[in-house]
Parts: sequence; C-alpha cells; structure tokens
Amino acid sequence: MEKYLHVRQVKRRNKFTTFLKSNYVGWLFNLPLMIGLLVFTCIPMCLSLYYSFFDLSVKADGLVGEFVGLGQYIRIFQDEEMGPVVLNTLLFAIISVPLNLVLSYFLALLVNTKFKFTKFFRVIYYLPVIIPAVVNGFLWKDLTDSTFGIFNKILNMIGLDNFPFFQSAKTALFSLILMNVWSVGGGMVLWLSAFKNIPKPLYEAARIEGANAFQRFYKITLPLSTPIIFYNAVMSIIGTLQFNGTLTIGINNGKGIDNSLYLYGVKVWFEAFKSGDIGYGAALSWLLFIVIGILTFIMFSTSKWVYYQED
Amino acid sequence: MILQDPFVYRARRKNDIARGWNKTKVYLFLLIMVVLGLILVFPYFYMISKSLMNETEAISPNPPLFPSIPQWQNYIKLFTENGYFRATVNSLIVCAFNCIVVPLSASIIAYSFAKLRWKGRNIMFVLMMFTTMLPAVATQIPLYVMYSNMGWIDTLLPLTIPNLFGGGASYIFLLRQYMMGIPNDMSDAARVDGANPFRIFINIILPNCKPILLYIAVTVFITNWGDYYGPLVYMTSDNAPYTLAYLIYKNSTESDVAAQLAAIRMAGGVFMTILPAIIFTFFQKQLTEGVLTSGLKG
Amino acid sequence: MNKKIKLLSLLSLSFMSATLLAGCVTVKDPNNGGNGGNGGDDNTPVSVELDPDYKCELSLLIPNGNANEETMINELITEFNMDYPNITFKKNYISVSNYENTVKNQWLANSLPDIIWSNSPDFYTLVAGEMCMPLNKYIEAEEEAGTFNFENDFLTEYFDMGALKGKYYCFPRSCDSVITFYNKKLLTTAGVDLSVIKNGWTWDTFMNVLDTYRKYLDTTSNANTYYCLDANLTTWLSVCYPMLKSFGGNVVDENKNVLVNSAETKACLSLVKEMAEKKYIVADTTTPGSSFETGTAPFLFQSASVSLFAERRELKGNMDVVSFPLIMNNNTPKIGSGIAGYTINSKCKEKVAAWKFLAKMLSKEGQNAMANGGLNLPSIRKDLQDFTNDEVKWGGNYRNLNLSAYTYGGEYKISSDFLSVVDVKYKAKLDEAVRNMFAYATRFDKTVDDAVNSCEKALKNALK
Repeated sequence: MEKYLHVRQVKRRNKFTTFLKSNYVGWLFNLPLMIGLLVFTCIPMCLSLYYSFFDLSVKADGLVGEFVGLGQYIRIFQDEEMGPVVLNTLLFAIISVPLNLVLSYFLALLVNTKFKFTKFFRVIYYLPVIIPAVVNGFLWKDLTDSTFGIFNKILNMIGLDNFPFFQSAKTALFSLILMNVWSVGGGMVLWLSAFKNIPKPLYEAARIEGANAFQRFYKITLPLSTPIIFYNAVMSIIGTLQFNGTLTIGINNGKGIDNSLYLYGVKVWFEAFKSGDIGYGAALSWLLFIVIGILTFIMFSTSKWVYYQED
Repeated sequence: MILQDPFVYRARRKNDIARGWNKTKVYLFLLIMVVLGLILVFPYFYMISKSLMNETEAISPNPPLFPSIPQWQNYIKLFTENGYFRATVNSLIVCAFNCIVVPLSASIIAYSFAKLRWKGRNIMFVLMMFTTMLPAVATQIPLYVMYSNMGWIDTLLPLTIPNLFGGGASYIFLLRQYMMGIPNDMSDAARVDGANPFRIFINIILPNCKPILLYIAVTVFITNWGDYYGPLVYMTSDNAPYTLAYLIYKNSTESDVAAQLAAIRMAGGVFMTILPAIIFTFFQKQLTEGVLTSGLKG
Repeated sequence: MNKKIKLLSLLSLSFMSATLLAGCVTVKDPNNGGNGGNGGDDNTPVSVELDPDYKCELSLLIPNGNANEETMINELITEFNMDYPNITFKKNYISVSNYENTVKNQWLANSLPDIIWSNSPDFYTLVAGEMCMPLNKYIEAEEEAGTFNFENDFLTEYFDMGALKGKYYCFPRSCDSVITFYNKKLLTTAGVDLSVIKNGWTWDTFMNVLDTYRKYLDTTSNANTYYCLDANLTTWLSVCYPMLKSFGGNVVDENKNVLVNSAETKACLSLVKEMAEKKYIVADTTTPGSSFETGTAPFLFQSASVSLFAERRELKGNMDVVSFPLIMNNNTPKIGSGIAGYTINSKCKEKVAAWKFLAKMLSKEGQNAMANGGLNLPSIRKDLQDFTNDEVKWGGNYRNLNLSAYTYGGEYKISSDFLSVVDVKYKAKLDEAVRNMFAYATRFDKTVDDAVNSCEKALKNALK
C-alpha cells in the first residue's frame, strides 16, 4: 500500500513536471493576464454575479438584502420597458455595426493610396475621433437642434425642410446611428494598420501573374485582413450591445424622446446608478453577458472564413 | 475602384498620379476625398468656431455658425484658473505610462495566445473574452470599494496600475489577431537556428507588430487623455491629482455658471485636441511604410 | 473537452472562493444588525459640550464646481475656527449629476465624509441608506445648553424639508424656494402694468400678464421663436409638483397605489396645455429661441441666488423677483421649495465636532459669514430676515430687489415629498414619470389623457 502511494505520488509529480516542461513558456507569457484577471476583474465580476441573486439596498451595515434566487432575472422578463429597449438595441446594432465596418473599410482603402494629400486627409478624417467626450454632447446638441441646429441651417440653405433629429421619436435612432458614423476615422486607422500586415511580395507576384487591381483586392487585401475584420466585428457587436453613449445627449435621462433612444446599456446604467437598484442592475448586466457570450461563441465557431497564418 | 497597391507607386515615386489613371479619374477621386473631408471635419470646425464666440452668441439657443468677432481671450480665460499646469502634468504622466505599458504587456500576452502552444490557452482566452462581455456599470461598486480599501482613492493608481496587465481584453485580442496574420515561416526559420520563444518574440514578432503597436499606443493616449469619468469617480478630495480632462469638465460643465461657460468649454475641447492631433500626425506617417517586406522569402 | 470543462470549473471555483475571502463587499441579512446608522436613535442623551482646544480633522463633502458654495463654506470654516482653532477641515467634492452613485460608493468604502452637502430630493438617498443621522437629540441638548430655541429662532418650515417622520436629518443653510424672476424692461416695453406683479399674486394675474406680453411678441419679428417663460416649467419637479398639488392632485401613496389618474391632475395638465397652445411656454419637442438669462424671455422660475443673474449684462438693473404665482383653483396654493444644506454622516467619529460646525452654520455669526462668502439667499434665522438692515448681510448688493419673495407664504411651501413615500429605489422613476407627464401635456401630438395614461403606465411598471 505504502509503496503504491509512493509510486502514485511520483507519477503525479512526473505528470506535473512534464506538464510544466511542455507548457511553462505559454503560461509564463500569459502571467500578466492571469494576475490582472485575478486581481482586478474576477473579484468584481463574481461579486456582481452574487449581487444579481439579491434584492439589495444600501443600509448602515453596507449592502443589505434578501436572497431572491432568480427573482431579479424573472423581473427582467416582466418589465414592460424591456420590449422597446431590446428592439431599439437590436435595431441599433444591426444597422450601426455593419455600416461602420463598411464605411471605415472604404475610407481606409481611399486613404491607403499615395497621393500627395492622402496624409493630410487621414488627419482630417481622424479629427472627429479626438474631440473630447467633455464637449462632444454639447457640440452635437448645437449641431442637431430641431429648430436652430447648424445642420438644419445648412439644410435650409440648400432648400430643404428642418429635420427633427433627436427631438422626434421617429428620427432619433437614425440620428444616433448618423452621429456614430462621424467616428469612422478610428476604424479607418485600424484598417490602415492591418493593411501593413500584408506581405508586399504577394502583390508583386500577383501583378506578375497579370491580376488587375480588383483581383488583387479580392484575392489578397480582403482575405489577409480577415483577422482584423473578425476582431472588429466581434468587438463592435460587444460594444454596440453595451452602448450607453446617449447619456451625453441628455434628453430624458439619455432615453430620448418617448424612450426612442432607450438602449440596453442605458437601462443597465439607469437601474444600477440612477435607481440604485443594485441587484436588478447586476441581473440585467449578467443577462447581457450571457447573450453576448452566445453571440461571441457563434462568431468564433463560424470563423472558418478568417484567414490565419498559423499552420 | 480605388485600391491599395504600394508597388505601383514605388515604380513612380515622384509622380502623384497612379499608373493607368487618367485625369478625370484623379479629379473624381480628389473630389470624393474633399467632400468626405468637409463632412467629417465639420463638428471639429464648429467646435473651434464656437470656442471663439462671445458669451451671448455661445449661450444663445440659436447660435450662429461663425463668431461675429473672434474672442481669443476665451483661451486665456481657460487658463486663468489655477491648477491647469499641474493637471496637464498629471494627464501626461497617466498617458505616458499607459502608452508604454499597454502595448508592451498586451503584446506579451497576445504572443502566448497567437504563437505559442500550451495547455490552458483556450480557457485563458475564453476567460479573457468574458471580461469584455459584462457592462462596466456592473463592476463599478466592487471596484471602487476595492480601490478604496487599497488606499488608491485620490491617487493616479486606479488610472494606471490596472493597465500593467494588458490594458483590457480588446487590445490583447486585437494583437492576437494581428500576430496570427504574421507568417510563421520567419519564426520557424529562427527556431531552426536555435532561437528561444523569447528571442523570437523580441526579434521577429515585435518588429512586425510595429504598426498595430503604434495604433494601440495612439488609441490608449487619446482614450486616457480625454477620460474624465475615471477621475470623476476616483478623485474626490481637493488635493487629489486631477487630470486635464476632469478639470475642464469640472470647471466648465459642473460649475454653477456652466451654462455661461459654453464658449470656454469649447476652448477647453480645442486645447485638448492639440496634443492628440500632433501625435496622430506623426503616427500616420509611420503607416506609409510597411514592415512586412521579407514575409515570403523567409 | 471533458478535461477543459473540469479545468474551467476549477478556475471559476477558485476565483469565487478568492472573492469570498477578499469579501470587500458582503451582503448581510437585513434582520440582524442595522443599529450602526442611528447614532441619535437610542435614549442616551448626547452631550454637545466641546473643549475649545479640541483637536481633530473633519471632512466635508461639497458640490463640485460650485464656486459660490465653496467660498461661503470657507468663510464659515474661518468663523468656526475662531471658536475651535484646532479643528481642521478636508474638503471633498461630489459631482451633483452623479450624487446618488457617489455617496453609495463612498459609504460602502467607508470613505464618506463627516459632513455631507445635500439637497432635496437627494437627501432621501442618505436617509434611506442610513448614511446620515437624526439630529433631534442634538437640537434638544443645544436648547438645554441655551444656545438657541429651535421654534423661536428659526423658520422651521424650511427645516421640515430636511426631515422625515419627525426626525431632522438635514439642516438648511438658507431658505430655498422657487420664486419668479422677471425682466422689468421687457415687460414695460410690452405695456405690462408692473404694479400687479407683487408678492402673493395669483396665477390668473400671471396669465393675464403673459397674454399681454404674447400679444406684444406677436407684433415683433420674433413671434415664432420667442416665448414668455423660460423653458423650465415642465422640466423641473419643484415647479411641476406644487402645480399638481395646488389642484389637489397626487402621484402615489405608501401602498404603491398610483393616484395620478384623477380629474385634478387633468385640470392641472389642461392649464399647462393651454399655456403651450397660447404659446406662453414652449412645446417639449421644439427649442425655445429665448431664455431669461439672455434677456429674451421675461419670466423664469428659479430658486437660485439672485447674484447668479443680476450681474449679467442683459439683466443688470432690469431684473426683479416676486413670489411664485399662487394657483387658487382649489384654494390650496402651493409653492415649490426644498432644502440645500448639510447633514452629518452616521458613522462620523467626531459627531460633537461635526454638530458644532452645523450649529455654527445656524448661528447669527455663521449665517452672516456665509452671506459674506456670497450666499445671497434668505437666512433661516428669524432675527436675520430684515435684509435692509446693515447688520443682516445676506442681502448683499441686492437689497434694492424684492428679496422677501423667497420667504413669502411659508404656509404654502412644499417639497417634492412624494418621492419619499415609497422606497428610495423608485425615486428616479417617479421623478422621470411626473416630468414626462408635464412635458407630454405641452406637446401638440399628445392629449391630456395621453399624458396621464402614459404616466400611469410608467409608474405602474416601475412600482411592480
């Protein structure tokens, strides 16, 4: 018996050392992430998951509340606000994500040429991205005002009627999507960096074989930028579903007129911060986590179209 | 169709007009660029215009497009408040730290995901992606309590130290994707020559990642430079190290006379874009030179 | 694959246990505990005696970017330090738009300052979270010591705004009430007889004045862009709620019954709608081209200090103030009011010192010191009401204005108390629903019934 145990221990140690031997380089390089995850992310994340099973309020002793099980999650499905919120969020994501991907890609192709002025235009296209958030909301309020907005002044100049932008439930979401288009410069720069990852000799070879410009784009540029296209698609879906940038527009607590801009991210913010309903806010967040998780999983498992150099 | 093809230009370096393009095509191309430029730059232009308006024009519900007389003293007024120098220094410290640390640590981590084979890799990747999926609102209270217990409130630490560990999943993921696009033949050749993974990382992977590392550095700079919400949460007392974005927010938005400071606020906005614009101008010059020249030859 | 799942669950388990070990925020059972917050609740008498040489540091939470509040608090500290020179102060700032969230964070992290600036309705958050303590004991002790007599010395109706269920939590630093700011020059140009605008004027008179002004506006080139009243009639609860109450309407009761669907509410909203249709006020979906501070709208409802407006180029010498017009339809006129003042953290370690600071704020010297620091709002002391007297400082440079408008009609004052009827977590939603109801009433695409129904629906969903 004793002998057997000894053998098992040796065996296990051997197993462990072989595991270490063959894997330590990977874990070593991954160490910063592990520390970061453990210290700064996991504890807060697990706590918020824990909160989502309680009906919490702040009292003298800290967070106090009774255990409600899945009660907060059930509440989400009974909340009458959720219908419009989900609809708005989906509509926003379905239009905004592809639109910005395509527009920024097109813009990047445009400024990836070597005209004298392209460098200048890159800076011009990027300028809206660096406008600080401190002033952005105020700026857009002036630009899109339904009666006196600068955009409406321009529309009037070319003989068109006033467009209500954020001040009508019908056009508010469209205006939000439009406003987001102004930051395509950020995406453009990402694409430009991605193009630099494409080996130049490929183009040379293609040219020798007589491929025209469109073929070179379709056969080389597009497939070789798929890793970044994939990155951009995943991150913009995540970002769009969590988007709460309407808070800076400020109409009706960021919900827009007649709740037309009421997005999921705004709902989470409103419940957790404005109402102070910490448990409900956490439950809403974790439901979104699950949805995004499923979407991301689907995207990763259908990512055969992404061309990696690996193997 | 406008397509990128650097080699066309290498052949005719001094010539502006691409081979095979006639003049109409070139003018059409320029026209598109100019129109797009005019549209995209408009909010920025209006920010400058508003920063030069007098108070009546700026707070009017019906603001003009141009100021009647440019009020340059708005920019002077912005800096008559105390503490701007110190705030700028604080902002620079935060940005400089993050600009160095984020690309570096993120690339180390991304390398382990993209180019190394080890057990547990997929699980760590999934865990990392998890962190992006939960809205930041959900973790704010626990995080605040944690920083407070660690004595980090009223210091620059919450804005810097967490970035030591990759600066967030999105940068690591981006770098992983980029590295996976780098051909393996170069590193294979180096491995045959006896280079260890660390050498390959330093000598082959990092140099090839230069454009994306610069992109990350610029993005990190701009995000941190303009961030006022972080300091708003973590800087509470009167001797806290305020950052520039927060100071402008505090003085021109939260102020009891905020409405009257509409023009000053825009002046603050314009001032804050100067440094990012300069940095971006230098950065985009780097983008004209590709780095992957030896990819296929190996 | 199986192995991966095992490893994943192992990892998450270890993270979970690490979390619980770290335990920086723990959820506690509401049934045990809960006595930590009510320092003055038990029957042990408190002592308000403090050695003049007492040494400690007090932290103060004041609103961010409010230069006025900061200078007056600095003056008060100077005054306080004459009595207690060894007590030092550390100032913390709070972003008013993020108040609720910030105090909670700081409370949970045990870093909430000792003396907390608050206003209504934000102070309900502090009370509901047991973050501030009742001050009744201290008032009694101070009365025994002979420093003041609460009923005789103060305008107690303003203290009531900072009280809940008979307990005083928040002390007002001044009298805060909604008054009417008006532009004499604009009204005179329009041919309005200014003599009808005096304290105690009624809403009917107000409407007549608006009518005269509107008729004048229609003859000018700004007929379609200018309005008679600055935009805040429907966006500010301190105006909406008193209007509703004047008509006898209500919002909600303590059993979460929604009371908004009533003839009284509809009567109130009809008035609002009438004002929008006659173009006295702007509809919610359009932007006004005029505002009081740019000198293009003659009326504004505000509770802020006159100093915020009186020095402006467009208003200097043309401006005066008058009490909020009384709505007599139901013979129960109301005037919006509220509290802006200071409370003491219930976990404060230097309660007596903190109390002494609040007591100094209420004292004659304290009130005058704050007035010297730029507080141009009426004192909460009865003996400091005569602002024409040189001994009374709060009138400042504005003694020629009708400053008694702020304190006119003490019996009509009402705060947005319906927010404290139900749990504090419904506060934001109640606030939003009521404001939206008034905004809907101004809109041309909504009827009064639409406004009431959508408010009722929103409230029912919120209170579910």
